[in-house]
Amino acid sequence: MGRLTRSDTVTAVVAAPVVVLAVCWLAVLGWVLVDGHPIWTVRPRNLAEAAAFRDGAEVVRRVSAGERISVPAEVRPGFISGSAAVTVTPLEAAAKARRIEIIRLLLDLEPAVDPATWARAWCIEEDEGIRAALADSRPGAATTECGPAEER
Amino acid sequence: MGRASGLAAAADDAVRFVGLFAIVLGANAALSFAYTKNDIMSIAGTFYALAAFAGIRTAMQRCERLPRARAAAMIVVLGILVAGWSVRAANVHYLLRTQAFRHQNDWVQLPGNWRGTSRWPADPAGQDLIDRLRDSAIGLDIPNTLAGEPRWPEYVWED
Repeated sequence: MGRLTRSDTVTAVVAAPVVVLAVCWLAVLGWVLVDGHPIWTVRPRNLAEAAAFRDGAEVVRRVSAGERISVPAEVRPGFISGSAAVTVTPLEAAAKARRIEIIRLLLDLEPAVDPATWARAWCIEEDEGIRAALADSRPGAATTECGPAEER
Repeated sequence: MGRASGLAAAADDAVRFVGLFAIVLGANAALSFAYTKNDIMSIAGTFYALAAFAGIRTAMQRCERLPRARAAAMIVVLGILVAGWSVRAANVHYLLRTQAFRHQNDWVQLPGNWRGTSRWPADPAGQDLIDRLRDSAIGLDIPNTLAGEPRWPEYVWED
């Protein structure tokens, strides 16, 4: 095998990072095809998590598959709560995550929300924008008084 | 072709490539002056690759003629430069993924916002096209880049 010339060394130094980048890129693309993505690994496990994660497409897919915005489900810690998981309805999760667009999407997908679900979402977050979005779809019998029954 | 004439030809190419980039940069800047924004210079950015190629190739050729110590220093500098640009280039994948998620969410929200406004087309074919594009966007399995993202990408790449 011949001795490396200076020209070979320069070429190798300049080419190596680009080759490494290309290999890593292909590896990531292959990983995506087989098992999600190496950077973004968290996927919603239910409609409440989809709402908390601001994942509009997942919300639409799950509602189309039959999940309801009034059915509570567990949201993992660190997203809309501190160190503990919380069990909330998707509408509450969207309100707690302060996502007006997700609230509007949920209420658009399921306009006939029951008064109790609406009231709990109203009481979980006091932000004016959130409450304005909820007020647009307030069921007639829903209360805006926040007592023990409306708070988890 | 002799070594000297080869180097001269390469130098000529380098001048052409850098000159071409300068012309496109100037033209691009003039055309997009009314809407100044970094992204608008992306056509000139494509031609920047030519100028970068010319610069790196010239530097590599210079290395061969430098004294040993200076050549070694230049190789180290080139290595750091190329490695840094490679890390930066990986940002393209990161950026495309984050934008894909954002645009998917836009497709979920915007048609609903447009209905009943002047933005919603009166033409049934236009309405059908928007609905089909929305359904297509919703059907894509795209990683959620807003949930649980590790901290290191934001330190390495700009969003």
